[in-house]
Amino acid sequence: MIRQFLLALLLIVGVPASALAQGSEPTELEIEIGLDGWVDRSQPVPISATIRSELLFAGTLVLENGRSVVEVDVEVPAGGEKSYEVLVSPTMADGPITARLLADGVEEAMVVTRVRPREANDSVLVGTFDAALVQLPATTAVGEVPVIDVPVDDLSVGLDPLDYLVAGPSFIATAELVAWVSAGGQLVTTARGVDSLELGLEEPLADDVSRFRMGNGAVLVVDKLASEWTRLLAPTTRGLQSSEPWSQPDALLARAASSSVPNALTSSNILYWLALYAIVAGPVNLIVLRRLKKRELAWITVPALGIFTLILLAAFGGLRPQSSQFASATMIWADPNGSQMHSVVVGASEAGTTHELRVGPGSIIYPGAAGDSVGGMTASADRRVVSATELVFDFELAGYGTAGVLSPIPRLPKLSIDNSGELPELLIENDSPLTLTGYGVVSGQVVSVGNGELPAGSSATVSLRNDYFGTADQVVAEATQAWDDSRWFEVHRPLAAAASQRAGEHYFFGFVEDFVVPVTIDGRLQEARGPAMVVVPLTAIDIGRADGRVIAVSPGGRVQGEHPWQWVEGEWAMLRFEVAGDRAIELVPSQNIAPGLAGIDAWDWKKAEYVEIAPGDLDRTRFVDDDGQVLLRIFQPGDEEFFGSQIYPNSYFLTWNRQA
Amino acid sequence: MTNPVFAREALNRFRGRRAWPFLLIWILGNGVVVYLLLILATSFDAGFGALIGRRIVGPFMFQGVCVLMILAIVMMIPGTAAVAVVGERERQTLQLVQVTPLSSLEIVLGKLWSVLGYVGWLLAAVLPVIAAPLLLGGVRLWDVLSALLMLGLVAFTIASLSMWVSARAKSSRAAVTGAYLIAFALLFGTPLLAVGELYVQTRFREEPSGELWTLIPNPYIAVVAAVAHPLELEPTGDGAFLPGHLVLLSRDAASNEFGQAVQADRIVEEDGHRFLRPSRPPLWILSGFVYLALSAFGIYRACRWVRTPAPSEFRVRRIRT
Repeated sequence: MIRQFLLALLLIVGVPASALAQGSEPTELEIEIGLDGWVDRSQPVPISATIRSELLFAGTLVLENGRSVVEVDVEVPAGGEKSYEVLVSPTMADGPITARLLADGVEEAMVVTRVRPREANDSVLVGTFDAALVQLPATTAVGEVPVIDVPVDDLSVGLDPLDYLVAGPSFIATAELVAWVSAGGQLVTTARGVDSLELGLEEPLADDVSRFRMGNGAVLVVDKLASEWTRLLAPTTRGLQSSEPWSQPDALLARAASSSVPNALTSSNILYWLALYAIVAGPVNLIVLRRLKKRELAWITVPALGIFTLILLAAFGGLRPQSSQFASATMIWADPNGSQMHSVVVGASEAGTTHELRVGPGSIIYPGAAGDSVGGMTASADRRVVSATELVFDFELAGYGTAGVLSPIPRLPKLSIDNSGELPELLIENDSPLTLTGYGVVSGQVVSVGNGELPAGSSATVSLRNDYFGTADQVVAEATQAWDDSRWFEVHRPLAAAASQRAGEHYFFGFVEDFVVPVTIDGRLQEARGPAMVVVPLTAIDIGRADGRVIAVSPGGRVQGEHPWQWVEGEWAMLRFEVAGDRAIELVPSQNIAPGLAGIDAWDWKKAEYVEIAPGDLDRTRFVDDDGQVLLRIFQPGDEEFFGSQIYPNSYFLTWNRQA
Repeated sequence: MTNPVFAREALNRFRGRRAWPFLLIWILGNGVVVYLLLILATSFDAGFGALIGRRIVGPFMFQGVCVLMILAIVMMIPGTAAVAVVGERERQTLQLVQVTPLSSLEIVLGKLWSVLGYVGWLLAAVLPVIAAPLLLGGVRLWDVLSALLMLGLVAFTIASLSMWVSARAKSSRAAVTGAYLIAFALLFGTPLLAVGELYVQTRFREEPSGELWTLIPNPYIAVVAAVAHPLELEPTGDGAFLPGHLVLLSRDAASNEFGQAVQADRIVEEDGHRFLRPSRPPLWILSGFVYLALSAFGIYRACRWVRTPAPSEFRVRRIRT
């Protein structure tokens, strides 16, 4: 009786349970990218992979986007769940990323899933701890904006993609939140929220009591959060990210690292070898065979000489590259808070080798994407992520691989600006341990370069006079290249281009010739060395003029060319200007642009709306924010006659009387 | 040297006045072209930097040399093979050969081996030039052997067809013209035909088949297909093989983008590389069959023209006295 009862119970309970087990997958893979799918492509992109398995699973997680492939060894216990956090190159987040789970020794993927990163290109991105806000139609001062739910208890996902974070009073300030605001984020909260923050804020800004500056970011305080946060948003100020893989920072650093290695292949040697061979196999061979009266032996002598020359060429021709070679390039970026040194390590090696790259505590290493090489060339090393501090290059074929490294910055030179003279001057006190082989200042389209080197412990002054003409990267590279070694132009230019993309209008720069990146390769520290560029953003350089930089374009529009010689194909282009001092400013159209071609809107910081303006005097109290920012939107006229014509950011510039 | 025709030609090959200057020009010409290729490859340093650029020089050079060899075969073999039989006829020595105990097949094969042997010898003469990519690294020995095998097949086919043209031609000039027309049609004409075929496929079919039959006999595509088998999604070094690789990916994956539209279950991982699981027979096998068929046709037709006419085929004219 009891047995029959148990059997019946088993049938009732067991059958549906087994049916359920058959219906569900034994191994599941869940992939999340960035913050709720949103990514910031100026930073390495975090991917979280959660694997659930009913049986013990050991294998490889493969993440790929086109040519970019990253592998992670994974192991999940039976009936368990495990999460793996992987940082990938921003280039890899250009399109959908496919994740495949391969069991050891099995060719077919057990699970395949795909995740598509999103990027707020033409809108600001708002996050909130308050889920109720997510439900609201977010029609704001800058139009419809996406609002996403941010997990208040876990900010390790990274807040980088956000422009604004709306937070009620009930949250705890974490290191991640402070770092995000300091790096440029805008936190919107209430007075109670500010109290609970205990952030050690600076004094409220003089003309706006509800706005507190914190590092490069700000805390905005409103009374009624739910109803008022929408009016606080300003148009995006992040700037456009280049969509071309080879002009992204990792790719530019990879090019600089690769260019820093002298080319050992001298093609003229090969020419001498071949000329010698041609003479021996041809005329000399003929003379010998004619004397022997055995010309038909040429069937044997010529191939034999060919093989002999090939052996000589292999042994003494110097054609084969070094078995393994590493180089690096570094951008030492001095943000006041939470900044990191950004390096790219390039390794080239012969087939069948494996190299282990490891960074110390406080640093992160991540695999470079295939497009992080230059010109979209495929990196042939497979990049296996072991952890956030360890990466393996596996060279099945001879080739190269790239890896990004984020590490703490060293001490940097002290800078002070003197605007009182006829020309602004920058005083540099190099109390850093670095010797700067070339240094100078970029201020809009003015580039000034100091004389000679600036050794550690020395000081120098750079006067801002416009000595050069061209794009900032070209000018910087030309001005600082060593005349006896043109290789440095190829090294400095990509570094300068990366700096120009990320920096504002004013910054100090200095090059370090031989910088050792804190990464060990197969246990050796000195392997990854190469050039570095120190960049310190500056404010308040008063040259009496500001030129605009394109930071956004209308949906579907695109930017062509390089700053400052750019043009925009689209309905409108948003330009950011940085003005110094407190004198009256004037918007001036460039002479070569037909007047009336485009309409102009300026962002009114007080009313939080765009206002149509005309060239001429610009009301400083309305159109310049506390950081000296002016935002203009230049429109195509919408006339059919001009349909398809382009917007030139150089159409307008701002000018004012210098302080002096 | 069992074939007497081949033996005679081999002995006489270097007795002419032009043979040695030609050898010198041939080595120097190839050397200069490969040297220019090397300069082009190393100029990548300007874009990629020495460290990365140095690693792609080998594959780039290898692909460039392969294309150079295809051009050399197309330019040299018709000119050499087309005069093989018609030259004998013009010198009125063909009948002397025909009345020997040699069969027509032996005569044609003897001529063919002579031509191919000479071309092979010329290639061996530039071995240090064409093997430089191997020394530069980044090229597998198997890739080189695949390329050489397909190049040999292409050479054999063009030589066989040239032999047929030579056997039926009435003058050397006509033979050379005809042989070059065939070789150029294979190399340059087939892509033009493929454009037409693609137009017809897209115009009259809802879903294009993806197979461009007219490209199968193309020597360039055949060599790329032989080297690129199995079809890798991320080839190393985008050199002279890139257009061919795009065609092959398009043929097999119905996409002209690297790996983008390929279904995940068609990607095979092996030794850390990602290959495309073929959905149709590899193109190099089809090309190989086409070349063998064309070669057999050329040799067969050449034999028909070279064979000694049977007495019954002579038209006897009665002379009236």
